Amino acid sequence: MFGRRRRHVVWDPHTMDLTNLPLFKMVHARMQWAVQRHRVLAQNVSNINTPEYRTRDVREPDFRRILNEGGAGNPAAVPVARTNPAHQPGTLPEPDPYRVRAQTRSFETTLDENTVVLEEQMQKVGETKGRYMMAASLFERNMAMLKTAIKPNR
Amino acid sequence: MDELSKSQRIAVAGMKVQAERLRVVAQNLANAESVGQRPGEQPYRRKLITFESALDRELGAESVRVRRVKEDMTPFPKDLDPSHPAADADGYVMKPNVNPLIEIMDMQEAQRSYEANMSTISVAREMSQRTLELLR
Repeated sequence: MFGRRRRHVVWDPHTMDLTNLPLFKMVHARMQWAVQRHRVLAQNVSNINTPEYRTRDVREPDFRRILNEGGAGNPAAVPVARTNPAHQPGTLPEPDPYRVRAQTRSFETTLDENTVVLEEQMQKVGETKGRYMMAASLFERNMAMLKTAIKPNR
Repeated sequence: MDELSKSQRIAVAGMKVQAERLRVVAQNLANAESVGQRPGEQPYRRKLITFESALDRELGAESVRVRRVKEDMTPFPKDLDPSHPAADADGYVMKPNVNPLIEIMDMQEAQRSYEANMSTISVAREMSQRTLELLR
C-alpha cells in the first residue's frame, strides 16, 4: 500500500508540473505570444522600404480556449521522423504558434504599395514589451507565493 | 533558435540593407559632378536600390534583403559650357541625373529606418534580460 502510493507520487508527471496551473499556463501563452509578435513587428520594421510589403500582425491568444482545452494557439507541429541518415531534413520553417495575418487596413500606403507605418509599429513594439514584462512579473510573483507555501514553518 | 534572437537577426538584416542604401547614396553624391571626357560620352547615371522580403532558411523566418541596384533612367540635364571637353556641337554638356536634395532626403530616411531597427533590437534585448532575471 505504501509502495503504491509512493510510486504514484514519483511517476505521475502531472503532480508538480507548473504548466498545469491555469495561471502559469496563461503566463506561458502570453510570453510565447509576445516573443512571436515581437519577431513579426521586427520583420515589419526591417521591411519598411520594401515595395508591396503588407504589414503583419499576430492574433491575440484566446485565453478561454487555453483554459478549457489546454491548447495555446495553433497545435504544435508534428515533425516528420527521419528513420534513415540519408533522409533530407525539411526545408520549410516550422509553423508559428499564433496565426500571423497581413493587415488589410492601414493608416497610409506609400507609392510603392508598402503599408508599414513606423509610428504604429513602434507603439505595438512598446505594447508587446509591456505585456511580456507583465507576464514575467506575474510568473515571478506566483513562484514566490508557491515557495512561501512549501516553506516549512519557522 | 528562440524568437527573440530571430527578431534581433531580422532587425540586423534590416540595418544591413539600410547601410547598403546609404552606400548607394554616398556613391551618387560622390559622383554628382562626374561627366564624360569626350563629346557624346555619358556622365554618371544615378543608382537606385530596391529591397525585397525573403525567407531566410537558416533563420526559418522572413527577413529583408537587397533585390537589386539598378540605374535611374531619367534623362540627363544639360548645362551650357562650350569650353568643356565633353561639350556637344551646340556647346551643351550632359550632367549626371543626381539631385543632391533627393539624395540627402534618402540619406535621412535610411538613417531613421536604421535607428528604428536598432530600437527593436534593444527591446528584444530588454525582454531576454527580463527572462534571465527570472532565474535569480
